[in-house]
Amino acid sequence: MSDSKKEISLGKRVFRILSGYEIAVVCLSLLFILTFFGTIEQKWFGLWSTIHKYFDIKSLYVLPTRGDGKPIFFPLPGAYWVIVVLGINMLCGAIIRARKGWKKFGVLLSHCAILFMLFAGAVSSVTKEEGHMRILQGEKSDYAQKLFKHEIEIFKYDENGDREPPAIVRSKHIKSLGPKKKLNATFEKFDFTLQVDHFLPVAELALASPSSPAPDGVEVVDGFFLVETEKNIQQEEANLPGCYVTVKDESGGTIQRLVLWAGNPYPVSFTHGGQRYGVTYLMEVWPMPFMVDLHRTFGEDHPGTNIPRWFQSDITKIDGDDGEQREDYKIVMNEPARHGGYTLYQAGYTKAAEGETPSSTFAVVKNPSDKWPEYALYASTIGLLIHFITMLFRFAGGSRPKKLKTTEPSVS
Amino acid sequence: MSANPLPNPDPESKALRWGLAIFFLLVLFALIAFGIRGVIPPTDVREVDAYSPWSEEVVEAASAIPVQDGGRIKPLATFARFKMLTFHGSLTMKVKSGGTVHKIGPVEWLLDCMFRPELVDNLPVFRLDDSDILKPFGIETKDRRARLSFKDIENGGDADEDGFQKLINRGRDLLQQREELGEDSLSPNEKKTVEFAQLVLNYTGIRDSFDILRGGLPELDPKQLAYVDEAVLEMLDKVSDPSRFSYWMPVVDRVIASTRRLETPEAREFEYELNRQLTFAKYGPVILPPQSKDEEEWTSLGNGMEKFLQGKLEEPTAMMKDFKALEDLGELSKKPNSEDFLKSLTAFKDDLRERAGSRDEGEKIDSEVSYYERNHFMHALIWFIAAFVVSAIGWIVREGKAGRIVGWITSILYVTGSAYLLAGIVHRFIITGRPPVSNLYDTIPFISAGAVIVLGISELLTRRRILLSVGAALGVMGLFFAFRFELGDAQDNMDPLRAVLDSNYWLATHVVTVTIGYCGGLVACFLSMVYVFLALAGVMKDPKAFHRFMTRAVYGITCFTLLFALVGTVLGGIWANDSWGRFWGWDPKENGALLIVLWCLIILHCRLAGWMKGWGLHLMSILGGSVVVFSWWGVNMLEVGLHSYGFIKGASTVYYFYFATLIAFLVGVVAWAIEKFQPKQSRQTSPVIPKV
Amino acid sequence: MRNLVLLATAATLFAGCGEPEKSIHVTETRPITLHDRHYPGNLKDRPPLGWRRLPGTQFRLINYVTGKDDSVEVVMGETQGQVLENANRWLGQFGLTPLQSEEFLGKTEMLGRPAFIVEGKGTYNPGMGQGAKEGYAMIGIIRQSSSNIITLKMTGPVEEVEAQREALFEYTRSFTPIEDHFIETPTGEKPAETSGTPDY
Repeated sequence: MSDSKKEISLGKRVFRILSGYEIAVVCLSLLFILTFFGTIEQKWFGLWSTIHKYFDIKSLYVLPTRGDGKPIFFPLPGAYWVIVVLGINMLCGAIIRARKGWKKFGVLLSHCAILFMLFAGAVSSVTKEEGHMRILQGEKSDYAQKLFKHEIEIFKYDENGDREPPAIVRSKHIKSLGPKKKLNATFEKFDFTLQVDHFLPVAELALASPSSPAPDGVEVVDGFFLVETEKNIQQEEANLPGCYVTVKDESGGTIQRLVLWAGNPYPVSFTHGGQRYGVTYLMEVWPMPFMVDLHRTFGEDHPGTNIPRWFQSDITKIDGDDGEQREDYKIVMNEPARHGGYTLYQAGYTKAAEGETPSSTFAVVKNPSDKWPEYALYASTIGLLIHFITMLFRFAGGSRPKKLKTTEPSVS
Repeated sequence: MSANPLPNPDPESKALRWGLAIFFLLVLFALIAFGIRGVIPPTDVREVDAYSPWSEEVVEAASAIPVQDGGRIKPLATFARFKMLTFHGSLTMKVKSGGTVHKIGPVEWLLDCMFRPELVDNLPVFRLDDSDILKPFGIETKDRRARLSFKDIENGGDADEDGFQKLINRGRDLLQQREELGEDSLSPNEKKTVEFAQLVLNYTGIRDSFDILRGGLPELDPKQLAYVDEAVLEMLDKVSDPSRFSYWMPVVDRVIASTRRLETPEAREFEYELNRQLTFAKYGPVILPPQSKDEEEWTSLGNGMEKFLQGKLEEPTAMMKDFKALEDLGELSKKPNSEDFLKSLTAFKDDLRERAGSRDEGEKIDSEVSYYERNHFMHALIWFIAAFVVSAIGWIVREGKAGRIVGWITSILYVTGSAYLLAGIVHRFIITGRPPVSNLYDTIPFISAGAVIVLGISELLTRRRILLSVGAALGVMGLFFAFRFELGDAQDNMDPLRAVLDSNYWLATHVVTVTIGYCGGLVACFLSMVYVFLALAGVMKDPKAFHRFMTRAVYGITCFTLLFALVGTVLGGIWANDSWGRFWGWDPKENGALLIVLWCLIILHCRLAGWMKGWGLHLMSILGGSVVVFSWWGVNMLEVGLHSYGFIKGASTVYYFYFATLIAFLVGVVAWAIEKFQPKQSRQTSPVIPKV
Repeated sequence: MRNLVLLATAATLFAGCGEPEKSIHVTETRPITLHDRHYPGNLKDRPPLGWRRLPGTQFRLINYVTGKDDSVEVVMGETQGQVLENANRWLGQFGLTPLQSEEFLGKTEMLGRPAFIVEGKGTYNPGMGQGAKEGYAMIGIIRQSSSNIITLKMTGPVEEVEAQREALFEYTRSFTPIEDHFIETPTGEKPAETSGTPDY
């Protein structure tokens, strides 16, 4: 056999495998098992951790475990990658290789639509950004914060005591550290180094005192120390990380030792070279290209209950350098405001007790594939309907008993 | 049983096989029915002295009194119904008085609370599944599962403290422990104790909320008050009697201040009782409409009194009028079935209805009263039971005229049952004004209706009587489950929804579609169960045709399930995107729906690949029923995720269902194995059954 | 040969996994937002250069250390009660006689309102399980607003506190209410339903 024929055979062979029912059934079965265990485990480990374990792009393999850590199944490939393989299989098998024709139109359409939906999911997983914006009534905001990403920001104070734009050490560099690993960060804009160590993913900052001293082996910095706490599986946003940092000069000498905790709302500071710097560990700040003025936040409970009937925020979205573009929105539950690629959802509101100010919390999402699943749904519904109605008529026609005398089932 | 269970029926063993078939089917359905039925405590017809029932007219009048509860205006009958379910776990109570047994329903019981508290304490109102938890309080019961009266509880305890006080004090201590140390610090028995203590306390709140109407204030000479506050004497309501609250009502706050200054034992006793009545009056049903059209919150008697005393009412005289009307009612209730009492009650009800009507509230009260009175679902259940029984007769009756008559009767019974079921769903829709599936309870009758309709239509198309049998059985089981759930949940499922759910568009699209998907999965499961057992028994005249028909039916319904489950799941994602900003979050409820879609896809693709034919399809379909139930109920029991409004505890019935499907699956595997490995010779004589 | 290459690649790829330290060079930044204009109690302060800020706590809105070996502590808090009550509590920590009237306290100004100065020297007993500290001094400032008391207290060794006296009063004068979070209606008037400017 010639080399070119061997090549073609190999290619065809690979294509046949990729487009075959075997791959489809295996992928669907794996996805079924992964989804099942990925649901059960949420009982012990909470939504967030389980999602990351099973469905994250970085999870190449998964070992289902129960609450005490004992495995309950053998290792499985990560769900994200199973879906990728399934998508390839759909493309090769259900679209390229599949028989075309009017009789197959419904199935073809629905497969294309599902594939498009998976593609939308892939786009979303890579490009989607989401955060929360909390504003008190009568105030404004030009940023959101990402609840589950915590990063270290360092900035200089100017002569007026205002902050300059910070340098950001991203969450991905920090959260992979454990209590023993260290991270050395040098900066484009600063001449010192920051060394991060003793990272704890869920911690509290405690004040050392004679009555409650730090445990043995735990470092106390400025009278404070970090203590590891139990993870809150119901509310991932309540899990706040902490770490110790050392600011070092160019020769490696220590400028300042600090302890950082993501639950601290305000920065700590140090002085170097006649300048004052601030350091803070916080939920990632996501600057918005617009300002949101919250004029009014209000709602109603069902009478005689604490169950919210509806709540609404009246906002003005301000764009442009001089704030000349102003647009008013009413954001209500189930009716978000969409504009310029950003969507604002009414995620919650806080009624105010007397003397306090009510507030609204908006979920802010930037997702280019926001509407794609909806379009895919319409297409796949049409495709499935066409296909199954055809099958229904074929079934009904073939299922009537051929002899009118005998009616099934009967045993006489 | 013969070595080859699937050959042509041998006339000599036909009866045995039929018996086996019916036996297995009944075992299976009994398992499920047992799980649904739950545990019923022993009935205890309590002897209660001098109990006289309320007349029908009084009950009818009281039923339609408007009450604001759970965020909406509902009839007193509904309020009473769910209160009684909370305490009693059932909608009737039986007592014996003077040799006659009386049945007490929710409205009667609430009327007893309001007007005859001396009787209500003797009624066996509390249902307890594990009365061992009461032993530490000196409260003894005959059986572990018991129904107790308040008096039974009170009579426990010891010389220092009665049983009620002991129970409440222990409950408070455990609650504090739970707050300080967390839920896990309590043992299961301690959790039950806390729950029961809260229940008993709630009961006393309702019972005592009408003490304020009954007078019974201790004696206090009003002239005594004049010593400390001369003006008080002039301001009292002289029309009333000093034992009645209305006498003191115009100046209650000054009266209380004066009694404190008097410092005599009579004054202290009077002040205590006055305060007690005022406090407890807040716990009764909320029956007084607001005086201002701008306000939405109605008030209970106690909260109305509080506003009156604080000068917050626009029309304080109207409040006095309402109060006096209720006081008069309380007085007249001493002759509960007298014309005067009925007249007064009806007048009070009509006045409240008119005031509610002027605010465009309470228009559906009569409809709701009639909904519960007509009890469409109970009628449907009875008709479906009849349809199932008659259809079962049809399995055995010869063909011909008798067979046709049986068939017609089955169809009529089936259609009547379906009509009642649909009537109930439509009636609920009319009352609530929202799509027919908006909470967990709604899914049960809806799925039952979907199943009976799908199978009914399939029967029309195919004329296979087996489908009506399965449909009737599903109707029976579904409705039993609906009753069981309502009793256990004891929540009014017509109450308005929270903001995130309150979208008729999404309720009508996503929720209805997904629920239809659940329905399809369950229908396929039950059809396959039937197939497996009947095929094993080998009772079909033409097994090949039966196999072909059932396989195609199950396959078709699987496709139907896939369509609705997929569309419903994606619609849910679109709704979630509009509510929470993300299409898919791997939330347990979302995952549950996805599992159904994946299961159907696996079945379809295996068939397309030629790996799965008849037996395989049926076995997978049976397990698919468990997947559906896991998605429908199991994920709610995890109590994790954003769909927190669906969380439930217990619901152990689902485990019985998983067990039943497992048994059916194993039986199917055995049957398939027997068929596969039967000797070649007998295979030649037996009908060709396609392999897995 | 192919196997050797694969092995080497794998080794390189996994080489980083077990390293105890990793290094990055940070270039990422972001524009300034209103988040950077958040201050405790909506009060922006400008501390002297030598003052280092520590994490705040429930009772310490703002917390600085300065001086030799960070021995001087400056704490700002918000509390309830009366000026005299708080002043006497501080004096009590130095074992000093409580005062009968605010008239005996020094006067200054903070955020446009009169404030009182409390001073003490001697052995400092901060309480809360902490031991006594000899040779300590305190300069405190208490300001009453309509709803609460703002306190600013500096403690430390006598010489260190004295050295920071001027810096403390300059710091007191540096407080500025932050108002740029608040909105105006399109007409330029403050809407009736907004929270309005905080009352200081």
